[in-house]
Amino acid sequence: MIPLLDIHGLRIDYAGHCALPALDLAIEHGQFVTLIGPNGCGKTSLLRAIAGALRPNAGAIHINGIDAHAHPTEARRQLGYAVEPDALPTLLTGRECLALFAATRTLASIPPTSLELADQLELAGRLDRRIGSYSLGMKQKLGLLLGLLGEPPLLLLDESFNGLDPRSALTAKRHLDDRVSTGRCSVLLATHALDIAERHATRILLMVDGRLRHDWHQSELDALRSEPSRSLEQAMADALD
Amino acid sequence: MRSNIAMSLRWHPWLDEARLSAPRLGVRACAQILWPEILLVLAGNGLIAGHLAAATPWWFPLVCAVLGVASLALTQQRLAQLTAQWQSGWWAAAAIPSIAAARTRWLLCLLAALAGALLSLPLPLLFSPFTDGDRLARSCGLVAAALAGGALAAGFWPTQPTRRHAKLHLLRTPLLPLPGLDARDLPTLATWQRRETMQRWRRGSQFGLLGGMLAMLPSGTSTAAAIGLLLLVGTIAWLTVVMAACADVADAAARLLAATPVAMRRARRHAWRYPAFSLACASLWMLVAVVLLNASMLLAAGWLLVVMASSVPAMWRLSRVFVT
Repeated sequence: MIPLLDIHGLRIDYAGHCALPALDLAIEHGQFVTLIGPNGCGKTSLLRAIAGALRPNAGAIHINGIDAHAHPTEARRQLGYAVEPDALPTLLTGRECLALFAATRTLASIPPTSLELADQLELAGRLDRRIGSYSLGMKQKLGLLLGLLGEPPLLLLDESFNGLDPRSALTAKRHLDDRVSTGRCSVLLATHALDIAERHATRILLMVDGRLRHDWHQSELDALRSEPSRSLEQAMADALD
Repeated sequence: MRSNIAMSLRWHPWLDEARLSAPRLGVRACAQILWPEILLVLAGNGLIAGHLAAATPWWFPLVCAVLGVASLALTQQRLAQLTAQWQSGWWAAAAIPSIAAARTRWLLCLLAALAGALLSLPLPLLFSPFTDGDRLARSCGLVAAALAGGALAAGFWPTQPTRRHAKLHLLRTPLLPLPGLDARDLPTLATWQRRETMQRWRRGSQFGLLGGMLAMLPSGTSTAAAIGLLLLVGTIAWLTVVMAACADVADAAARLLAATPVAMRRARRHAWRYPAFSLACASLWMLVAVVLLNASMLLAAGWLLVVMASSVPAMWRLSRVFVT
């Protein structure tokens, strides 16, 4: 079976500094993958390169078997990227922004599933207000809705739970768990919140200096979770030594 | 170390930040930021050249005054942007004495005045071997005084509190809805461009230019001519705001939609909808102005060229957005 995300020899340079030297990664359908690692290790660069927002210097990215370099529009149809709060247009309302994103996926209107999730996240009542008046948490919710819009098979999240109130964060995590467990999508989440990684991920990747230092698969995570004396925090510290 | 601390108390530390970051900007980024100042200085140079070439330059002091008002409006706008940055940016939480901020604003006004005065000289100096020295000195002096005087006068202008801008940002909407401008496959892009334009226009930095021009009209000017002149100046001020706002919004939209399967070529075309509509409206108003002023079509064509020239940087940026 073709992996949902297949990366070979990905290299990204920033003004003389190499953010990712040569990265290989494959993510299968129905995986909840969290990407952890120290600040500046290349997590965001990797997500932005997959999303097409950052042009790699070398390497190949295939999403659902589609070459992201040769067919960028088709490849982007296979993924959703939760928009960062600072990138949201302050002069548009939440609803207008959702309509804009729906149109890029050739949807005639905002899908009912997005509006239902907005309601569950307690954002529905604020959708007709301008984004400039939103708090950080509300912007994060909208960013998440924009990423999920159109139900793409691959969802890329970059610290998307920062600033969310506990109830909304739980709703969002349950929604993602449900979609992953039913095989409707795979998630690649870059985060420093080890509790999310420990509880929800089916696979955890540790990234250091642009390279994957450790890859915890489902069996290792199950073993980690079954022993109260062990924790991901300790396992990560051990892997970093 | 001690001198650095004293410096930070005497001046706003933004000066240090600017001193470090300015050399790292490329020529292109500098031109994108400073193009209004560059245009103003070029206009000053052109004005002196025009004065030296014309036989009966009765209009020279009047245009110098317009140049001075433009210099005042531009410096005042830059100071307002800077104050907003100091009050709501990452400097907001720093304990900076207000006297240091005020002193820095005055220093910047002084530097702008000095730069305006000095940069208005290069082109006219080329004429120096071929023209009367007194006339050259008079024209250079007047233009330099207008540019420098305008920049210095901005120091006396009260800086608008940013809270007002923040409220406008959320509440103001255009009076006349134009839903037809939004494309079906990229809705709200034109609305976004229009709101950004409205927000910038209603901050009012251009109104000083229009008011100044009205104040300088000779007493015998007919109402029709005054309206015509107001339309001409107002149109160029409006279009400059439209083009800059639309280019900024198109850039932001391209970044926002970078990870979506948006059809790039069509998106680039849609980014031109509102600016093109505004250009068509402005051309119509200019025709009305030409009729009211009873001016020749040559003048209208010249004015159109000035309008287009003032929007070239923004048009260039609009033609480069949504590129894969």
